[in-house]
Amino acid sequence: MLDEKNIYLDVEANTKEELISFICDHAYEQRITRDRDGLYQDFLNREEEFPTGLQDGFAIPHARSERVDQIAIMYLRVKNGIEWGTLDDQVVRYIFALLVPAHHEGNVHLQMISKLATCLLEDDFKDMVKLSEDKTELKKYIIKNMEED
Amino acid sequence: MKIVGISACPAGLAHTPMAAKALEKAGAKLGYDLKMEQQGSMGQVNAITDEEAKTADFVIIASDQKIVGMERFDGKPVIRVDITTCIKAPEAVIKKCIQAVANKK
Repeated sequence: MLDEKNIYLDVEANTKEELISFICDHAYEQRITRDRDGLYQDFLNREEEFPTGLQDGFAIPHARSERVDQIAIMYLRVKNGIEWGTLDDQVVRYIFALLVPAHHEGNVHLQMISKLATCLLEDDFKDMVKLSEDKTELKKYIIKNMEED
Repeated sequence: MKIVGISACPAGLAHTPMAAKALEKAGAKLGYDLKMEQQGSMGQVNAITDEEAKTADFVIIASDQKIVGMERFDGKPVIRVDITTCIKAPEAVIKKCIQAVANKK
């Protein structure tokens, strides 16, 4: 669900559209979707309905759609802050992209995404994912926190 | 003071649990008995029972979505709030709701 290859620490993207495009390219490469452009539109539609920017530089763009073939999480860090539409009007630098099939069966993974979202209310968690340069450590840390009750 | 509430968002993935958790934490900090039900991608999580609904002083609906089971709260003051405001400023939301309910009485 979250693999080291889904962690990108120096993404060059200057706009929300560029970043979502990057996410969709990689989702296509990794066979998370077979419809790259459709997925792109799904992400943008969700952002139009309501921007997914949070606070302290975080955002959680998501697509829950027919275009997603397997549930996945990506973590991305961009070099320059992106204007996003956040709760505290700060630019976004830390992004968790959530990709969920429209008719996902089973609650284990949804539960993990739910836990990840609530982790973003915790300063310890945010500091760690902001600062770590080690993908293996990041993957372990994020998954551990998603699994804890 | 006993408060119950429900959070719900369009995809039901992330804002729903975040708002619920934020309000519960803020409620505990302010010393209130506050329970949030989530209506998200996993259906109803941490559902409010009829008994809990009956004994609550008021109801917070953190959503602009259609909510399941509103009949549980018949006769109770119901306050709708923006879900992202609950994530951003949960304590302020609770305080404002309490004030709004007090003013109505």
